Amino acid sequence: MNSAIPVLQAIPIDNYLWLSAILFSIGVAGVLMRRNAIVLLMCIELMLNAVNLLFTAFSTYLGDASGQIMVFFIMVVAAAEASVGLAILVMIYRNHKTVDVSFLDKLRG
Amino acid sequence: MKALLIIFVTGLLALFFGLRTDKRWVVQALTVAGLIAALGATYYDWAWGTPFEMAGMIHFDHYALAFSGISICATLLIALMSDRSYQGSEENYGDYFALILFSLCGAFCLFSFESLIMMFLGIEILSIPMYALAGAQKDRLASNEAALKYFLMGAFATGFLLFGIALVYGATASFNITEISTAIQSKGALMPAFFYVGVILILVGLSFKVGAVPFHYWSPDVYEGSPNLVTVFMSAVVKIAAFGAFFRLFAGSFSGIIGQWGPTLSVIALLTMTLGNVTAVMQTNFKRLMAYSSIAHAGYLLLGILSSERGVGGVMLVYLLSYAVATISAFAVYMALSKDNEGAGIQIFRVLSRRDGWSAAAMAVAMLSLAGIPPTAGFFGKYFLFAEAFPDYPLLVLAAVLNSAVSVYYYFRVIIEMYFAPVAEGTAVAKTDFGRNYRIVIIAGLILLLGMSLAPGWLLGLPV
Repeated sequence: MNSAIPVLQAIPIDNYLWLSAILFSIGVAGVLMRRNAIVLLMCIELMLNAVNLLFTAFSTYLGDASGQIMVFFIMVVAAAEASVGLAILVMIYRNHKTVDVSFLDKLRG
Repeated sequence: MKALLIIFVTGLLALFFGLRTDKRWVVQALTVAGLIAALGATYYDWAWGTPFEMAGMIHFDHYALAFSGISICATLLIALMSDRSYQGSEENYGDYFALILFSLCGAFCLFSFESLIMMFLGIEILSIPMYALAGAQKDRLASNEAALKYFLMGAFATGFLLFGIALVYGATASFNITEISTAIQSKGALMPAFFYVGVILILVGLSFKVGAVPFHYWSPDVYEGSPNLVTVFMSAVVKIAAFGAFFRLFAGSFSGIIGQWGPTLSVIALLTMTLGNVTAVMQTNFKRLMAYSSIAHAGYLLLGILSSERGVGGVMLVYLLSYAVATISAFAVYMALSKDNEGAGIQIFRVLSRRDGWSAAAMAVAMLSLAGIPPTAGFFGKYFLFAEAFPDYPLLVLAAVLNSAVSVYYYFRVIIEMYFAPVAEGTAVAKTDFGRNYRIVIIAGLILLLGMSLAPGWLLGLPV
């Protein structure tokens, strides 16, 4: 691991920043444009993983371990969120026989 | 800290007793006892305890204890009235209480965090039980839809919040809110540009949580579709928690760079209060009306965030308490009147004054308080908040006052419905049967709303 750090640090931080910003934007675009709830869940996961990448990159550059600890917390929370989200999807599939979010228009004011 | 442990253990016990017994009052009595014990522990910590602190992660100072106290009071009122509204969901009575209590644990983390890690965890501990609770009525399509919308928007907002935290961490090399504040001062103009992007992304993430325009579009649907009791919890306790965190973070870390985020937040505040009030005027469904009313109140409360460098924690406290009690009190009357969880229009309050004088009075006081009419608690909340914000944002305060005038229209529609609706000659008006639980909450709300106005400066004078 210690030998890898200089190699990782040879790449300027801006590149990591742009990479995770692009991945994050793909996730955001997916959430806004796709209609299948499973795909929405995957896009949200992509957003969180882009953040994880950024945290590890910053953590390596700053020589500070707390960024990596944050990644573990994010992974745990993402798992908890995914389990509740999938449970909600199963419940919706039972009632609607679809997970297409454009069918969900009962609530309008 | 003691309160957090008590609430967590009470939640576990509620889960256990929910499985072991089918007597509802056991679980409810347990929850109420746990909440009262937590309130006592909070008061003990406030008066005699030393602030609990854990290695720069959480710090239960007076600010945290005061906000914990008011959110426990709000949850207590909600737990007291939960008896009738759970009819039709016999099999998982304990789970409701447990999830509400676990969510309250998340709120405590949000009032006391010292580190952005704890803030993120607090938001998730607060939100994840709420996703499940919003969908608690498994067979009702509206509840399903509310759960999915709340979940997707909540998770989406979490993404923005986390990206913002990552950028702030990258620029300041710390998660600690005090160290971030020090880094901002020492680096000054050398701070990389992505730091400010990070602050704005955190602002966006938290605006989603408090339901500020243009990130509010989920909240009317979620409020309408969720079970009544969950809607009350969302509009009272979740709102208090989100604003508690918002204020703590922006007053603790970012008040030095208000020039960078102040203009953005001013525009958000103006849009929030205007759109909330104007849309509320057009609503007929009571739960949607309350949703837009809560959006409008979020707009006023953002003025408190904007004045955060003046240390207006006590003002936020008074406003949030008066708002939460008035909302709970209004929902208590609504829930006692509505037989099921389907949305009802404000016609449900027709001639309530003849059906039950006390609850009509309580509802009227709650509406007056939300509208900010003296001498109710809501007036003093608004007055203190606007007075603090006026020197820096005179135009915003003017807009807020005009908006309050608009809000009088839709709050008074409810009062007119209760007191002045025409009744055909000779028809007998049947008395309505209010459950004992609702009556307790309604009377408590009435006393709190009027009592707070007897000594409005008292809460403000607390060392928050």
